[in-house]
Amino acid sequence: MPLNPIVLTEKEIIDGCKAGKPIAQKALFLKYGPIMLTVCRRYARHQMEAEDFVQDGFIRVFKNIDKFKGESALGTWISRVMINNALKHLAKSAFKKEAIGISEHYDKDIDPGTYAKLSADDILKLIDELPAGYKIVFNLYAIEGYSHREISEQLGIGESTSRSQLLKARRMLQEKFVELQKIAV
Amino acid sequence: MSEMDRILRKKLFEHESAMPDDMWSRIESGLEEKKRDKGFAWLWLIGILFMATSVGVWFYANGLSEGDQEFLQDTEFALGKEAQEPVQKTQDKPQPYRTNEHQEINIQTPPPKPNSSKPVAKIDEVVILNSESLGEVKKSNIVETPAVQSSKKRVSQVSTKKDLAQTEIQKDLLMTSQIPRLSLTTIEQAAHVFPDPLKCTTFARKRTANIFGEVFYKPSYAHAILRTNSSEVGQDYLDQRKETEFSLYSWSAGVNLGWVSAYNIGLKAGLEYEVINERFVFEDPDAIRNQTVITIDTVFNSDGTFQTTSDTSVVQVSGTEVQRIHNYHKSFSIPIIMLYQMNFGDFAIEFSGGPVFNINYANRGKILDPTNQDRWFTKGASGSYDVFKDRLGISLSLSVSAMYSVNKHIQVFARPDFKYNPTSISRNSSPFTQRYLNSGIAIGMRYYLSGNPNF
Repeated sequence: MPLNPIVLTEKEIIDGCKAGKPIAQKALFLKYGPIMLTVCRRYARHQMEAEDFVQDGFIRVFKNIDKFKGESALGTWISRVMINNALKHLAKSAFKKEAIGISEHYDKDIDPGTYAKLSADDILKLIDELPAGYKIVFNLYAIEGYSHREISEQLGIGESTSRSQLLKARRMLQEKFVELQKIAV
Repeated sequence: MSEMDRILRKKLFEHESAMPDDMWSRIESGLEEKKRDKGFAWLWLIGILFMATSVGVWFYANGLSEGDQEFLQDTEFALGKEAQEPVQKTQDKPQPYRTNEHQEINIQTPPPKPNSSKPVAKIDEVVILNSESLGEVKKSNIVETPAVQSSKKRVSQVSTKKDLAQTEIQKDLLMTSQIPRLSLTTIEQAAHVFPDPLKCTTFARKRTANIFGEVFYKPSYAHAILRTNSSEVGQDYLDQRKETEFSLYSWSAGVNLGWVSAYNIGLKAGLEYEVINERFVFEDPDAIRNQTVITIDTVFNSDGTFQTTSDTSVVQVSGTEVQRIHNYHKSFSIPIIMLYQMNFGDFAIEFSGGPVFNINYANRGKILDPTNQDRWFTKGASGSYDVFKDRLGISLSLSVSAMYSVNKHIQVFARPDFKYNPTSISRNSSPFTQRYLNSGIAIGMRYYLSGNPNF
C-alpha cells in the first residue's frame, strides 16, 4: 500500500528527504508549500515570479536538506532558503539604485485597528505595490524579524540605508492604507 | 517593533497562499533535471580521467627510459669513472652493420688510442634485424678488454657479498649496462635509414613548445531537445512543437589561439560564431485574410472626355494559411579548450574538450505557444513571446581531430565535434525547456608560429 505523504511525521519527512525519497519530498512540499508561496509573494514582483521562486526554492531545499541539522525549526530553515533564493534572483534588479523621494510622504496617524481589519491578501497586495527595495527591507525587518545588521549583510548595503528604506516603506504603506480607507468609506 | 509591524507580521507570518495545481510536478521535473545535470558531470569525469590516463601513459613511457638511465648511471658509478667513457671499437677499418636485407651501413668510429689505459670493449659484430615491427638489436658479442676486466674486479671489491653468485650477477649487470649504450646510439642512427614502417605514436617530448593560430568552419546538425517543466503543458504541446519545427543546415566558424606544451598537452581559446537554423511550418485551416480590393471605373462623357473613379473595399478571405518561417539562433561564444596531441609523423590525432562561454545571443522566428497559437519570439521585438534567455550560459564541447602537416608551419584538420547545452536556452518562467545537442565536422587550418616540431 503506498504511503500517504500527509500522514508522515516531521522526522520521517526529514529523514526521507535526506534519503531522497519522493514521498517524503512531496510531504514536505504539501506541508510547507502554501506558507512558502506567501513568503515568496512578499518578495516577488508578481505571482508568476513568486511561483518560480517557490519551485526553485524547493529544489534547493531538497538538494541541501543534508545541511539541516535541526538547530532551528524546519519551517524557519526552509523559509530562510526561500528568502535567500528570492534575494539571489532579485539581486539583478538594482533595487539599491531606486530613488524615490520621501518628501511627498508624510506620517499619518492611523488607528492600529485599521490594519487589523485588512485581510492578509489585501496586505500582500499593498506590500506588492511597494518599490522592490522598500519591499525587501520591509519584509526582512518587519515580517521575518531580521535586524538591520543582518539585512545589511544579506543585501550588501549599509545599515543606515536599511533603516532609511524601512522608514520610507512604512510611510508609503501608511499612505496606501489611508487611501484604502478612503475608498472603503 | 511598531504596532503596525506586529499586526502585519501576525497576519502574514503563517498565511497560506493557494498553491497552483502543477507546482509539485514542476518541482519534480526540476529535480529530475538536476539529476540529469549530475549525470552529465560523469561525462566530464570521464574526460578528465581520459586526460589523466593519457598523461600517465606519457610519464610511464618516459619514466622507463629515465629509469634505464638511472640504472646505467648506478652501474657506471660502480664501475668507476673510466667505464663512463664511450666504448670504442678496436678495429682499424669501420665495420659494416649487416641487416637481413643485406644493407650495409658504415659507421665511422675513431680508432683506439695507442697505449690507452681506458677500458675498451671490442665489438665483433652487431646485427640489426629490420623486422616487421620495430628494429631491435639481435645479437651483440662483446669481447672484454683487460681494462674492462679490471673494472669488473673493482666491482667485486666494493661488493659486500663476495660469494660467487653475487659476482656473476655483477657480471650480468656489466654486460647489460654495456648493451643499451651501444644500442641506443646505433638504433638512433639506423632510424634515419629504416624509419618505423608503422609510424607508431612517438609519445615523445617535443623539442619545443609552440604557439599556434587556427581558423575553422563547421557544418553541423543541431538537435533540439524539448521538455516541459509544467503539467499544465503536456506532451501534446511538445508533439505540436516537434511537428512544426524542423532542423535545417546549421554552421559555425571561429578562430582560436593556442599553445601546445612540450608534453603535447595544450590549451586554446578564441571566438566562435554559431548559427542554428530551423524552419517553422504551420498550417492554420481557419485563417482569415483581409484583402483590399481597389475597383477602378472609367466613365466616358458625352463630350468625349472620360473620368476615372476608384473604390476601395476590404474583403475577408477565409482558408488555410501555410506559414514557413526561417527561425534562427545566433550566438557568439568564447571556447576555452584543453587539448592533447598524439603524433604519427606527419599525421596527428588531437583530443580536445572544454567549456564554451556564450557572450551574445540573438534569435528570430516563430514557435507555438501552449494554446497552439503561433507567436514571434524574436528577441527585442515588441510584443514578442519572451521565452528565451538573453545568454545561453555554458556549453560543453568534445572533439577529436585528425591532423595532417602540410609543411613546417601549416597543419590542416578535420574535427568531428559535439557540443551540448546542459542548461536550457529557455527562461525558467517559460513552459518548456529547450536544449541543443550540436554535432558537426569542423574543417580548418592551423599555423604554428615557430614551426610544427613534429613535422
